[in-house]
This record gives sequence, C-alpha cells and structure tokens, in this order.
Amino acid sequence: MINKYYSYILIAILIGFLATQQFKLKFKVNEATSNKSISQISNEVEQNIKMNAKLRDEHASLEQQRTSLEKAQLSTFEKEQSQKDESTKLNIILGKTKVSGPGIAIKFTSQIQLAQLVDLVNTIRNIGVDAIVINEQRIVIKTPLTQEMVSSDGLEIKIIGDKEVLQDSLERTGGILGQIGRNSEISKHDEIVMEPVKK
Amino acid sequence: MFKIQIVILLLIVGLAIGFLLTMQFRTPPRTSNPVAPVTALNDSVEFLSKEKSKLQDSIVKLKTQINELNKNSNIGKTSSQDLIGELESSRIEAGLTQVEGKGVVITLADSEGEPTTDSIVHAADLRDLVNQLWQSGAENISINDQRIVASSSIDSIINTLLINNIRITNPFAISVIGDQKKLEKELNDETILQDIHRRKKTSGLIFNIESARSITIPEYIGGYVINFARIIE
Repeated sequence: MINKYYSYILIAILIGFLATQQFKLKFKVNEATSNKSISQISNEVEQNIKMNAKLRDEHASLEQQRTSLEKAQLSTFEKEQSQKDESTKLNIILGKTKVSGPGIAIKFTSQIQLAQLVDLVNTIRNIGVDAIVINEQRIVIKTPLTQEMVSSDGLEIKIIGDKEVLQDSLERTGGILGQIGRNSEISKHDEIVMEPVKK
Repeated sequence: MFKIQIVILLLIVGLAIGFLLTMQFRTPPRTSNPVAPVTALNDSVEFLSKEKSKLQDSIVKLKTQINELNKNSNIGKTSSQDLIGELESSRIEAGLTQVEGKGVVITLADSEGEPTTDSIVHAADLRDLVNQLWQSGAENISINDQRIVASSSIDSIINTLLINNIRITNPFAISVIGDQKKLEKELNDETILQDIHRRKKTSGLIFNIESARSITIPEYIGGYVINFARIIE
C-alpha cells in the first residue's frame, strides 16, 4: 500500500518536472526571439557598423598623416606640407576660413523648439559632416545653439558633406526630421559657400 | 469500480508522462532553430565590439606616433616655426591636446530610488547641458573623460549612452574649464535647464555642481576627417 503511494508521488514529481522544463524552455525561446529583443539587437548591430565605419575613416586619415610625416623626415619641405595640410584641415573645423563644397540645405517652414534644434545638430554631427551654418552663422565647437536661432522665421541649416547620405539619413522614416514634424524641405547642392566664424 | 477508476487515472498519468517525455526529447524539427537569428546577431555585436576596440587602440598609437614625428621637426627655421606655432594653437583649440584650468565639475546621475523616465539621465539631458555650458562661456568640456569637440555627438543605444562613439555609463562627470562664478550662477539658475531642475526636485535626479581649482580635460582620442569642404580665398 505504502509502495503504491510512493509510486504516485514519484510519478507526480516526474510530471511536474517535465511540465516545468517544457514551460521554461518555451518561455526562454519566446523571450529570446521576441520582436523587441531582435529589434534592439539589430539596432545595436546597425549602430556598431556605423561607428566602426567612422573609426575606419579616422584610422585611414591618421595613417595617411603618419606616412606623410615619416616620409617627410627625409624632406623638410614635405614635412612642412604635411603640417600645412593639417593646419588647413583644422582651420576648416574651427571655422577660421571661408569654405565651399557639396552638401544640403534644410529649410523649416514653421518654428521649431530649441531642444529639437540641439537634437538635429547632434544627429548631423553623428552622420559626419565637414561644416555647418545656421542662418548663415558658422557653427563650430563652442558655438551654442540659441533661442534666437529658432525664434526667427525661416530657420535654415546648410551642411557641407555627403549630400546623398545626409538626405537619406535625415529623411528616413522615424528619423529626426520626422520626429520634429513635417515642416522642413531638403535641397541638395553641388556647391555651398560658408563664411568664417565672425570674430 | 474503484479499480476501474485507478486504471483510468494511471492511464491518464501515463499518457501525460509519455507526452511530456516526447516533447522534451523529440528529435529536432526540420524547421530552423528559432533562436539562431538572435545568436547570429549577438555574434555580430561581439565581433563589431572587438573590431571597434582594435581600431580605437590603433588610433591612439597613431596619434602618439604623429605627435612624436611633429616634435622632431626642425624649429630653427623661422617659416616652419610660425607654422608650428599656428598648428599647435589650432590643435589646442580643436581639442587635440590635454588642457588644465579652473572650472566646475558637474555630476549628473540617475536617482538612487526607483528608476522612472524622469529619474534617469538621458542623452538629451547631456546634449542640453553641453549646449548650455557653451552658452555660459565654457572653454573646454569632457564627459566621463570624453572630450567634447566639433564632431562630437551624444547618443543612446539601448540602455547606454555614447559620446564620440564610446560607451559611457552612469554616473556622468562633466568637467568644465571656464569662469567658475558665471558657470555656477547659470547652472544653479532654475529658469535655465528647467527640466533637469524639475526632475531633481520631483524624481531625485542627481545634479550637483562643484567648483574646482584644477581640472584636467583629456585630449580627443580620434582624428578629424575632411572629405568635401575646400578653403576658398
């Protein structure tokens, strides 16, 4: 009689264990393959691919500079040229000179908020650009974005960079311009001229 | 009657065990493994992270080599002396050298209480703070030792923040070189950075400002790439 009850208990334990394992496995598979989980990881992969592409560009630029300086060790003239090239590049970054190049212009048809402008310029920098102006004011490292910029009618941002990449990135569905609202137009240009920072 | 009931019960139990054993140990179905895509994506993340680390290390080495090569230049010649002076000044302005000076250190961190949307630090908070610091006359800024330069962007990915494409995590230490009095006054003004001040009061967001006599802000680890812009006279 007692053996019979032990058997029942053992069988119940076995059923309980198997059922629990089955439910746990199903739960784990569902969690791992949930749309949210796959979407988050896909987003991370996409960001990492973009980041690494930028790092590879920076790496290539620095390698070129180093090679140029190494070669220039034999030639003072070449070394000076390499330094001039670096100086030119930094002058563009710092907005010290008038520049031109291909790019895009974004014109807003209604006012936006300052926080939206901050987010937009952040996105533009993330994409990777050579120069930016807002309402013809050159934007460099220490230039703050102000309420005055967004309060004026007809806010216009011009960017020198890869015009195809810029337009695609900024206009993609769910992208920054979509989040700000459908109140902007992008035009591509073969040449945009930008004045230096006003002193 | 009782025996029949026992038999039926045992039959049901036996069927249940058989079913569960079958589910547990069945041969793999011919359909594809549902977890495989997730595993592949995770492998990609790991591979890309390793590649990123290698690239970053290599960039640091290259910058050191370039600095050495530039130092070895002949400063006896006056024309190159002017150029080197101009270049050095531009490098400092562009954030390519370490700098020291007086300023403030700001701590912006998640609340120690229950995490909510208002009690944690978002990338937008850091963007607004940096923009305000430039407006308050900051000369140099770093966040968790990441120098803020012309090409810097502050973004978020899943639950971490990225600055200069480097992951940084809570708490956030913002080092600022500049006019201490002006910076402290404007950062403590609740009419400026209103959202941060509101969340500090209502949700325990940590936002502290301390003056410091000597702040060191590291150089920007990375290079600038100009592909499209050309100087015109």
